[in-house]
Amino acid sequence: MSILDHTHPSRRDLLRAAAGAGAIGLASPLAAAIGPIRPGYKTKHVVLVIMAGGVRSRETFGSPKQIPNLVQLADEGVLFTRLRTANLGHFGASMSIVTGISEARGIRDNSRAPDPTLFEYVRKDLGLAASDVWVTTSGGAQQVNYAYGLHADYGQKYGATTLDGDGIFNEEFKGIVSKLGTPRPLAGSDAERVAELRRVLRGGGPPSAAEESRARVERYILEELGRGVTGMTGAGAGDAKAIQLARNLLSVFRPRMIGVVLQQADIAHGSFNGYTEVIRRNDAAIGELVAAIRGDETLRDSTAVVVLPEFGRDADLNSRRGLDHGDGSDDLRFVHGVAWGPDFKRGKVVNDDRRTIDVMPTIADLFGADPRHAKGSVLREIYA
Amino acid sequence: MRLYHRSELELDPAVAIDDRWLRALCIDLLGRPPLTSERERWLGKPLGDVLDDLWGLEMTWAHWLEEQLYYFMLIDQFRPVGTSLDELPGRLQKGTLTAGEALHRIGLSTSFDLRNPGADTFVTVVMEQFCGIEVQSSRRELEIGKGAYDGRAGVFMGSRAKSQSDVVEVAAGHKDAARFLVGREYERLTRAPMAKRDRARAGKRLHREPRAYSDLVKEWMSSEAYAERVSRGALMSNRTWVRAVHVDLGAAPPSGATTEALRSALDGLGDPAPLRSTIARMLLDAEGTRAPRGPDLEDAGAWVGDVFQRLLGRAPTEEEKAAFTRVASGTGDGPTLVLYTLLSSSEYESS
Repeated sequence: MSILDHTHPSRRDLLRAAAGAGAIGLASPLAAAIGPIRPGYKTKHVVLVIMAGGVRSRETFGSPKQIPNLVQLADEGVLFTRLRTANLGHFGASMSIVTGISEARGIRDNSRAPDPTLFEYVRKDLGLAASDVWVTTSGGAQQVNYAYGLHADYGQKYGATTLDGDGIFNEEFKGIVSKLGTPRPLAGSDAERVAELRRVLRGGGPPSAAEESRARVERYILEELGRGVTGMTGAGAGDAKAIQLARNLLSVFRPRMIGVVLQQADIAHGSFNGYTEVIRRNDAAIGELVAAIRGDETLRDSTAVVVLPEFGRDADLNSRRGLDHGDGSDDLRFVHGVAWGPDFKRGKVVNDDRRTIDVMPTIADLFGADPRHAKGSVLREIYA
Repeated sequence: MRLYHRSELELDPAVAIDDRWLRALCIDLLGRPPLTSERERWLGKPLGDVLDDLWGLEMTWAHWLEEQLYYFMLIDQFRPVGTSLDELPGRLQKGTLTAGEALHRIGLSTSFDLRNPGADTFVTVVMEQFCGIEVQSSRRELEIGKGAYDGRAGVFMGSRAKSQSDVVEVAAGHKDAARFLVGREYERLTRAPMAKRDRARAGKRLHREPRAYSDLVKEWMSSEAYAERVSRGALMSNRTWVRAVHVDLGAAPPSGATTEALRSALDGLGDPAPLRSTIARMLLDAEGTRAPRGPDLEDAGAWVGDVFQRLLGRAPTEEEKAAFTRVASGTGDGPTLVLYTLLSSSEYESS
């Protein structure tokens, strides 16, 4: 029996409640319905921000004035100063964080991992709906592969609902929507006739849970297109969109879990200044995300935020006065990370070596999920 | 219509193709379903003749190039536009360039360089994407390649190299590159992995005869493995889906800019189905792709049968025909609802 059986509403309850929430931005009645993830814990929601793209500690906690919001999170939570990682390429190293297994992946490999992800473990073990677990990204086509892996016991049916901020909410797509016109909502007899045709086409029977979930996501996308995400521009705009999407999703769906995977710090190969600008902008966006959490009565004391890069960068500048990632230095192999939340210690600094792949089992532990294939260990010292 | 086998693993290329086959061939080689004129030209023709026709078209190579650019992730801001790569489809079609040479040209492009900045990323991607090498277990080769990228001479993958372009040339011309190319192309077309022995044999042939690529592909597309792909259907990529939905609504294929904008948006979802559904409705509502209105249909049943055949490559069942005809011949928007239902179905996505 799921540990949530006594507190967690059925999927039907969730859908009914969400339908009643109405327009985007309104506080969802879902929040009142759900309890803590584990008995004795206060956490109900987790936001995992992977500051991918390669971010050295020198430009984060080594330059605290650059990242006032992350510093504040660390002051109020747990700071890891030596998270060991490996240069597996951005995709492989970020994937390792969500699978808890350090394994090589091609830099431009556009395929799923063989192992289950954090999102699959929590959805399967806790019986969560697709709208309970989201991933927002900024790196385009490749990053939707974080949603789920190919393991036979998990896979797509337990995957996270994934949105790439720079993909969907780009100006070009918005231009096409403006030109063609926003689709008319199907209603009344039209909706009934389509539902009947779909029933006949699938050979009878009710629509699957996946179909219902897709319909909700379709409504959400249409409404989001009318908001401000599309208009963001400039250095790191893709990352900022991914973080803003996470904010919006928290307010609309109140999901149990949101993974945010950033990417644009990799501009560092050719522009050190652009890289530090992306870090500052992402820190500010994370600050706004946390401010939104603090300002929301139902999220304030029930949401945990974990932030870490996938790896660092080289110790020295390259010939273009940028920063690559391939020298095997400690600047590349060790990063800082922060864990902030109602069940975590405050002001704790962990200077011992830990691993980025330990973060996934730790979050799974917070959920009461069993990441049975992960290789990382639970970071128990973070608990208050 | 059935295709009969000439041997256990090979189909008889003289047997005529039906709608399902024609749709699959066009989707895989042109990146879209057949246009009306193409359907009239190829439906019922022998498979071998249709394959010969398709491989003689520049647009087949244009689609091939798009697939390769996507494989190298040269999309969005890294997509090469207005560069010397534009001449590749024409030269490939005329036979003045081989597939391997075209990949070499991609590796030398500015887009590839911008996409893969720095010695470590560049050499890693070249080794991984051209030759399928796992660099984590080939660190020494990677370091030699990085040295060559920075201008230091060394023996990289068995050949002398002392520049960034040498790194690409050595990898693109390596025998592993030929073997890796046939493996990934076979899998792209048949949606099934190639047996190791077949991959080694075909790779060896391509390395020895760089112009054999088209013949190899024709062999694969006349194989039992491809017949299985046609039979079970294959999920359309987002780019193909965008082009397919435009063509299937009776319009011309969309412009490159429209295709890329819609493809990029769809690529932003782990499950693109909700946005595909939205786009299908946008197109159906738009002028120029408007479906016929119910009263315009003289024979709604025949129209439904034709739409099933064109969009799904099969005839409707009796129950489907009755239900869809009832809706199509109903109030004004009936045909639009029929088209929307089919275009947003999982069966349509797997042509």
